Amino acid sequence: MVSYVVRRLLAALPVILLILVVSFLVLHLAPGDPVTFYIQGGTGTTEEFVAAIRESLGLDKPLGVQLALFLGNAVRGNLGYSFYYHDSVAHVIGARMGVTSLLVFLAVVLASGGGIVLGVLAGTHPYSTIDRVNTFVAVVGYSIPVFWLGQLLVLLFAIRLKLLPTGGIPISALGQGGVGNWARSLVLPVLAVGLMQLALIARITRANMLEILGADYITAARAKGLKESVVIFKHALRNAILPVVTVINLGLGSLLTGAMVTETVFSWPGLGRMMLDSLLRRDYPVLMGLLIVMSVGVVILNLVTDILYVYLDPRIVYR
Amino acid sequence: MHKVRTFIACFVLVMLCIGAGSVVAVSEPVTLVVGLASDPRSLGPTATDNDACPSYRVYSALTQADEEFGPAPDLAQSWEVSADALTITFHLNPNARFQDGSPVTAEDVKFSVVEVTAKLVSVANRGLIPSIGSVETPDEHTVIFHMKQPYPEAMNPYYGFGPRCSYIVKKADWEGTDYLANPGNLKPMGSGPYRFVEWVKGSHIILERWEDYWGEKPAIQRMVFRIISDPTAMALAFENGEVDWIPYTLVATEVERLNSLPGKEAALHGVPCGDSIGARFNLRKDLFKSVDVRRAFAYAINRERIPGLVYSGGAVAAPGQINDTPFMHAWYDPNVAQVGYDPSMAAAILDRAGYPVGSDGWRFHITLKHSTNFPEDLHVAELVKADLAQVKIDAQIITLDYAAWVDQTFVNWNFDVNLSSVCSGPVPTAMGRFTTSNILPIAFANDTGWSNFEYDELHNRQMRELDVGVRWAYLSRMQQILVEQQPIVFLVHRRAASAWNSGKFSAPDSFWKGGLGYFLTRETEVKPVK
Amino acid sequence: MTRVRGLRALRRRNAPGFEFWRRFRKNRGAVAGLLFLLLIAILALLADIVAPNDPMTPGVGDRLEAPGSAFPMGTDNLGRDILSGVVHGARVSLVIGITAASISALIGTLMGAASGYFGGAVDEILMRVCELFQSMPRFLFALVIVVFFGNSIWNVVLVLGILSWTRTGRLVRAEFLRLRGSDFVVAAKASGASEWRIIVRHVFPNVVHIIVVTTSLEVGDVILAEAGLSFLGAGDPNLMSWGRMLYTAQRYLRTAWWFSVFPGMAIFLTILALNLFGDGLNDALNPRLRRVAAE
Repeated sequence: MVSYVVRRLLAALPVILLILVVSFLVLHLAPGDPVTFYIQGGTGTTEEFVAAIRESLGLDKPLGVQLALFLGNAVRGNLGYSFYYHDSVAHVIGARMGVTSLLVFLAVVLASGGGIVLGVLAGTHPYSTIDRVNTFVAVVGYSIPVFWLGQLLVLLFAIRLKLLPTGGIPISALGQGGVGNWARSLVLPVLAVGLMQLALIARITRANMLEILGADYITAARAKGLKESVVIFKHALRNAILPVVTVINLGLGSLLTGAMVTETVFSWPGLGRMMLDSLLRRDYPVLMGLLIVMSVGVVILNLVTDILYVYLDPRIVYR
Repeated sequence: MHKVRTFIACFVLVMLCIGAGSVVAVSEPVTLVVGLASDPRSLGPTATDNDACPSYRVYSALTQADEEFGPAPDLAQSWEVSADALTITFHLNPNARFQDGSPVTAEDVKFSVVEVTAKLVSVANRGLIPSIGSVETPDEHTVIFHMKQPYPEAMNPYYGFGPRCSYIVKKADWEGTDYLANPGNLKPMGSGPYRFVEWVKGSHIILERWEDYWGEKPAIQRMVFRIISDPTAMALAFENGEVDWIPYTLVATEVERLNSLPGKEAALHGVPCGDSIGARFNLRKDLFKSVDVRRAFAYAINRERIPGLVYSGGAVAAPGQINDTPFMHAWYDPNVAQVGYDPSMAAAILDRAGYPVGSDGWRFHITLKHSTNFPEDLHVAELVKADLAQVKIDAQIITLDYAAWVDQTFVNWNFDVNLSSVCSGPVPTAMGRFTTSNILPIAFANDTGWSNFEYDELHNRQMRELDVGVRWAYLSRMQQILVEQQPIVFLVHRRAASAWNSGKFSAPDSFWKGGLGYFLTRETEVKPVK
Repeated sequence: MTRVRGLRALRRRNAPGFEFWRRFRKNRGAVAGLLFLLLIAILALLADIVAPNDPMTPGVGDRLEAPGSAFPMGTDNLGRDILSGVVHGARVSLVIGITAASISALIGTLMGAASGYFGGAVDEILMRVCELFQSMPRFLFALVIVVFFGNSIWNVVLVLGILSWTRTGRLVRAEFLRLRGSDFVVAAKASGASEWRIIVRHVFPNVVHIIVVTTSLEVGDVILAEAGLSFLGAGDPNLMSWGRMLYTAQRYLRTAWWFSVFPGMAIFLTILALNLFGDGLNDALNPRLRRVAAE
């Protein structure tokens, strides 16, 4: 098992490296110059001034040298210095990472929890009302665009009903902190991000429950006289959960993009929004830093889910 | 059933928590919440117009603006300008101190203007800095500027020794450092009435009143700048009372609605920069070398409908470079006007100029480039495209992010028509945009490549002319040349929209609209409403 | 003549497609999806005739008019007819969706086939490439490229097509792996048939249904991705697409709900139809296939 983990980690490194190199090339070969944002929008600056800035930022060196410098620094944990924020990239990303992580984490919790509950209920009571609700949520939730959903939620809950804030995070320095306020700010964004995964999980859980409940060992357990709840929770559920892990695994990409779009609609100061802003500003160091963080994150999360898989299903054997 | 009951119980619990969380804390300091559309680049002297609001509270300048946009005392309690305008003497307030307790001296002022401003504030380099010859500091509280040539805008708080071009920093903290990387950009320490508390990027900036401020303390004890990038969310936050003041970045469509709410005010107003949009031609292309073709474009585009459709009245169709808003009124010549909307005339001109409609149904194909920096630019581009299509010109809109746009249009001159914001003010300095010497591969320079020697000479003269009458004549002629030669079709002059929570705070009208309060004067007039 | 008819009926029933259609027909959701898609396709083809106005011409109505008799879906911020915009948007979405999905199907099939059939080093390399493409959040990469290299519609199509092949690729590979060792392939090899002939005549026909299903699901993903890109402002401004309408509608949420609701509905219903249809196809083709990791 340990050797498997180590091997997977080692195999992931060249992938990450390749992603970075390709991204670096794309970013730098595209038209546009980050210096324009570094200096004040450039109204009336002299050419010499611009050239001096370019030199101090190392942008005048050949591409290969820049890449080598960047990779060398990245390995040592130095992700560079942001042109726009005048702060180290690691610092800038670190400051916003918590917010996005919170959003994504809660979305996963909502999706898994809600999805499993709904799926189990539907699977154990097929063709009932709850089953119809499940199918409805599953199909609708998967098809609705995240950004439109966000807008609709804002329209309904923040504007019409005035129950929840329109966006932003609570500012603790203003005494706005506290679980209650955070909960209020989190409800809509988490819902928007998590609904799609919830739909998927609900549907798959239901399908699996149906199939498993028809299996022999379940019939045997029932024949033995075990209580229904024990049958469901001890025997059926464990097997039904497995695919959920896979779904989360595969859905990480769309969770991230969903987070990015949602952060736009709800004005959340997270990594997703920062990615978009840095794109527009050509803030290369921040962009590269974000790509690193995301690739590494995805790889690690993939590994974690793979391990979970093995833990949950001893039948699976890894070479 | 078990499960359902537990579920309901949990749901109720969650709802209670949400309700409990909305209890507001008691005894808050008087806080003004300002809505900003994006993070400032920095909080130091590099902050530009768009970024200046927070940093201007922390730093002082030599002068600030009064209600008529003339100079009022800030760090300098009095000043004299010699008759020939070549010597300007400032007497600093002897009580002025930095927030760390050290006194503000003439050396700090000299260093800030000659070194920091000159290196970091590009707009200062258009007129002020090149006019400064030498600076004398005969004693701790006196600064004398010896000018190389008379600079008529020297005491203008916008383009002269005001908040934009003379943020005073502590020399000891900045001398010898890399100005762009100086920690003072992130954690500013100045001599203004507010101290910096914290900056959470993408979320907020907090400033607190400095209780030992040497000047008149404002009534607002705390200022919070909330960063809300989505304009809809910003308007909503204002409506819900989460934001008290939106300077500039309110969407024009919300003005009427917000203004009608009790305790809220919103208005459209002019801006010092006199933002206008124009379609700029690339005169390096053969097509646009002919004045006739450029004139045809001017006839083809219906400028009058743009303010209504795109800005909901938040703009005015442009007669030329200068229009009749309060900021430019002094220099406006009503006899200067571009041609009106006449598509049949446009078609006739193009036919005679040798561009008949081709077999594919179009006369020629061009690209229309604009940047995402101003969302309305896209809609203006769409209207222009439709107008041009009517006279059978095929214009493809190419939307570029700001950096790519600057790169393609201003640096590499790779464009046909550049739909760009033209900062048409403050005049008269901004007239220099179209001079030959401004044909440079940098942002917002003369990208058209148009060169007119009469225009150049007129600009040289007006930049040194102290006689207002003579200056006016020069400017009138310059405006006329621009409209005759048409290197650019002026489309509209934008107005900005701001909103104020009048139920909670009172402030003079001129404070919260029009840029005065944003970066030219401070909150001394703003009081909480009892 | 009853006997002839009986024979014909028998032949019909034994034809390969019949079972498939019977199963498909039973799935009401899938049928509804198919019908809706046909409607969208008709709208797309006949957009110029069906739409009452030119969607790009500003000022046909007042600015932000509420839905009424003149404009059933209201007008947008430049006075353009939203109904016409939605109708023409169908064309844009379908063109983008189908083109990009086709590109991805092509790439995915080629990669998957090569990987699954030849195995060994080829498989290893291609699988690493596949992982590379999978690890990159597709949407973000598309955004980067479109923002940097221009937002013309062909850039969008190309980028989305090139980045979406991994799902098809993996499934095709799995099928090829499975079939590689099957009896009829071994037999064909033994009888001296060339590699190419084996792939085309024996293996490929069994893989087609997988490609069709994943491609139809892929179309939905692409349409969603394009809408997302347009929503963030990276779409092509020379066209009227649903996503772009939502982008502009953002700031008019309060004053003009119709500007957001109708185009959003259009996207939602189209994706819904595609999903239902794709699932129906999947079910009908592989009634026993567990829908576990097929997403």
